[in-house]
Amino acid sequence: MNKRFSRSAAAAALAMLVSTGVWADDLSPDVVSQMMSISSVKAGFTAAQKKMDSNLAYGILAASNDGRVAAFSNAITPLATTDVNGTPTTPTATSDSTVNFVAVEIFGDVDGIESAVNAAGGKVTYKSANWGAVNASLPVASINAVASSPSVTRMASNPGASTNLGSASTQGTISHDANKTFNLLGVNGSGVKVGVLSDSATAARIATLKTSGDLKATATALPGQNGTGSDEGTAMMEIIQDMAPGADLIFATAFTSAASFADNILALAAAGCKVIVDDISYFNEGVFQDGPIARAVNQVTASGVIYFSSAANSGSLTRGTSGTFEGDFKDGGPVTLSPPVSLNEGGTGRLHSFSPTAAVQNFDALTVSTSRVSLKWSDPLGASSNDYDLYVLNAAGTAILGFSAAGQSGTQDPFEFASTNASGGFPVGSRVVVVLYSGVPRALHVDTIRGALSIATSGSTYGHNAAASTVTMAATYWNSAKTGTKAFTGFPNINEPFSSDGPRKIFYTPTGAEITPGNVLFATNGGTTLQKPDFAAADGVTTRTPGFLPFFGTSAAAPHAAGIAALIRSARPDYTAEQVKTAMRMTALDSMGAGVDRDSGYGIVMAYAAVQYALTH
Amino acid sequence: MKTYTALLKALVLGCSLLAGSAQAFALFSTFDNTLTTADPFQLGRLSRNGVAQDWIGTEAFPGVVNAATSYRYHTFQFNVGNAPYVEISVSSGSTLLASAYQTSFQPGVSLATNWLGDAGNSGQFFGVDSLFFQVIAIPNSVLTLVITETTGAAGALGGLFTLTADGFIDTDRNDPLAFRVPEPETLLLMLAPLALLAASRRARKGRPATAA
Repeated sequence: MNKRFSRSAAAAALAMLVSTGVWADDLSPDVVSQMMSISSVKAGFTAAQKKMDSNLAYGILAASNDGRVAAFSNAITPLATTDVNGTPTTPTATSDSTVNFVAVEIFGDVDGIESAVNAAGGKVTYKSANWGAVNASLPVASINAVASSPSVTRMASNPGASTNLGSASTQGTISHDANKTFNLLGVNGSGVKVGVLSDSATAARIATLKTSGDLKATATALPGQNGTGSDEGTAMMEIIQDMAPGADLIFATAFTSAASFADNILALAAAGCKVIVDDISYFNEGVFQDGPIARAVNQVTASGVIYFSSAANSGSLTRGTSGTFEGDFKDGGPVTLSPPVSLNEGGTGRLHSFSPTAAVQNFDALTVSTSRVSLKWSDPLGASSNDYDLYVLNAAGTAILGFSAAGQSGTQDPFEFASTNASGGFPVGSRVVVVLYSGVPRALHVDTIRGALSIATSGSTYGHNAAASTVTMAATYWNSAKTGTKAFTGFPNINEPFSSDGPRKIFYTPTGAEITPGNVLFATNGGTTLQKPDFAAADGVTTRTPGFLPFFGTSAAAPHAAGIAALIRSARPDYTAEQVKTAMRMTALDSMGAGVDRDSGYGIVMAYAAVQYALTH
Repeated sequence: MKTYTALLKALVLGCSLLAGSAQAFALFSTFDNTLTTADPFQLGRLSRNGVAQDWIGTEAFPGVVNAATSYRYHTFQFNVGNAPYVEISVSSGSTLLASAYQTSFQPGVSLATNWLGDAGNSGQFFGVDSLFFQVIAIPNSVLTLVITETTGAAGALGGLFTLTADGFIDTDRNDPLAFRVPEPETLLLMLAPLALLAASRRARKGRPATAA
């Protein structure tokens, strides 16, 4: 009797609050109700659904018009359907297996996965035994069945990747004094092979650039690895060739999948590349632990390669453009109404308070719009047992615009990814909300992927781009001092406003062991902190590749540094990768903060001074 | 032998430095300038077509807009010498457009007369990075740079702009040989190994002979 009365009273109180539009919490009753519905669906996930990421798990339910998701279906990003060959299609009823395929990434026993995919009428597009990963096109209607296979550990929709391009020949030969190196010292990179990874470097574009003299006749791509896309790879190759005219360049695409990217890093090293550079970021790469791509970088650098990557273009705290929040989970209270009236006596978790003070603020507002937000936390990759969820609400906190609420029960990655197809993305003012569904506090990393946050921190650069073995490159405009086509001088050459900052905290070894056992939080100084970025280099430069006139972004900065490394290696073939890096470090021009800093690292790399140092040390 | 090798290496470096530094040949620069009431008006202005001129001639003449509207402009002239591949950078607010003309700018005749190229846009990349464009002038001729207001009517005065122009002998940005000058430090590096060699030879001469 009393229980019925209390439930009735609770319902009445809720009704009154909703009707008056008054609530004291950061979340409206409608939002709380939707969040509880989402949690209720998650609580009923099958074993197969628990292996899926949020996009797949809820997307399949929505595609089949499952009534359980009706209350929040507007916040579910529709599955991106294709035909069996990956050509995008308009989704129809799930029974139409000719057009309703989805591109997925499946981890586990690759041979068993391949059998399951084939049996389901799907198509394997890439298989990597190195990383236990299979990329495939699967009929929507068969995803549950394939996920049920004991060969499958986990399954995700293709996370997507981006190049670190801003939009826009390179003035860098003057800015970095590279001209002096080959004109005066006779050092031009000859004898050095440089590997380049980006979205694409089509055969046609490579041929055109060879004809125009912008690439050497030896420029090539690994067989079948030209990729398809914007030819950003050739723009990078042009920069390297300008900086090191004698170097031989080999391209391989990094856009097929993360596993393929990692394999191509190994393949370029096997092809003799002693300098390798990329400009790709995968959204689902680990923040606090090296994932497959970073582990591939570790392998090649251990064999003597010096590896460069773009820091990314997601802003910095110094320039007021940060779209990153890093900090330990801080309990902001339960996911209920205030005054506390819970529709689900079990509760749906605890809200994270973003406020840097004792005050509670259970959201972080976007100050620049974005269509993607990711959440990662300090659990090991492939073994996350603390379950966090991510929501994006409208500015009033009255509606869920997007969410990611997969389950983490010990075999998944600590990763949630909310996206929207709405024009303009999640608009300015949208509220990012983090919920600890179950488990214990962990260090959090929220990334608005080129958005910006009202409560922001440093620590933007992540993944292989910021790995210990990678030389991470920030960007400074070639004319940042506004003095024309002149050499960099240091402090007048500030970073681009979008250049991602560091540092990079790591809590786990590549194999998943805690670096500081029992301590994986910022507040208790767990893990280790990597000085990132390492250096800065030019962007906004001229190339001959259409669409890259000029070539902006840390995507353009990284190949400048790779070209300088090629010059050093050409001058000193006996040098180890560490000695090459020392030559760059000892001669870099200090910029941004005095000394080593989180924006430009040791400063701007300079070709002539670095080669001179190498010739005399 | 080891000492001589090291000294020889230093001598080679010093000589190479003495040959000069390959830097851009600075043709022109003006910092934090503004249009003033003393500047003349032109009728109509170049269309901002979003295409910046480059050394392969990507941009065709963009056309003229608002032919009946008066726009203030200012010109800067300099001789390109034997550095005809010119790279021009302009930093300004969103209302100024930079363009380049071979020898002279003749707005009373046509904005197309002698036009070589322009920045394609006003403002700055990302709000902070200067625009730039490239033109090829006739060697040893006068190049005229034009800064034009784009808001029309009375023209916006007081907007700051910085304009630089650097010249090269080719698209690889090599500078004219005649303008390569030794850096001050070069002389020290050149002389140091010679001094060390001399000291070394003096030491050898002064060393007493040893018995066989």
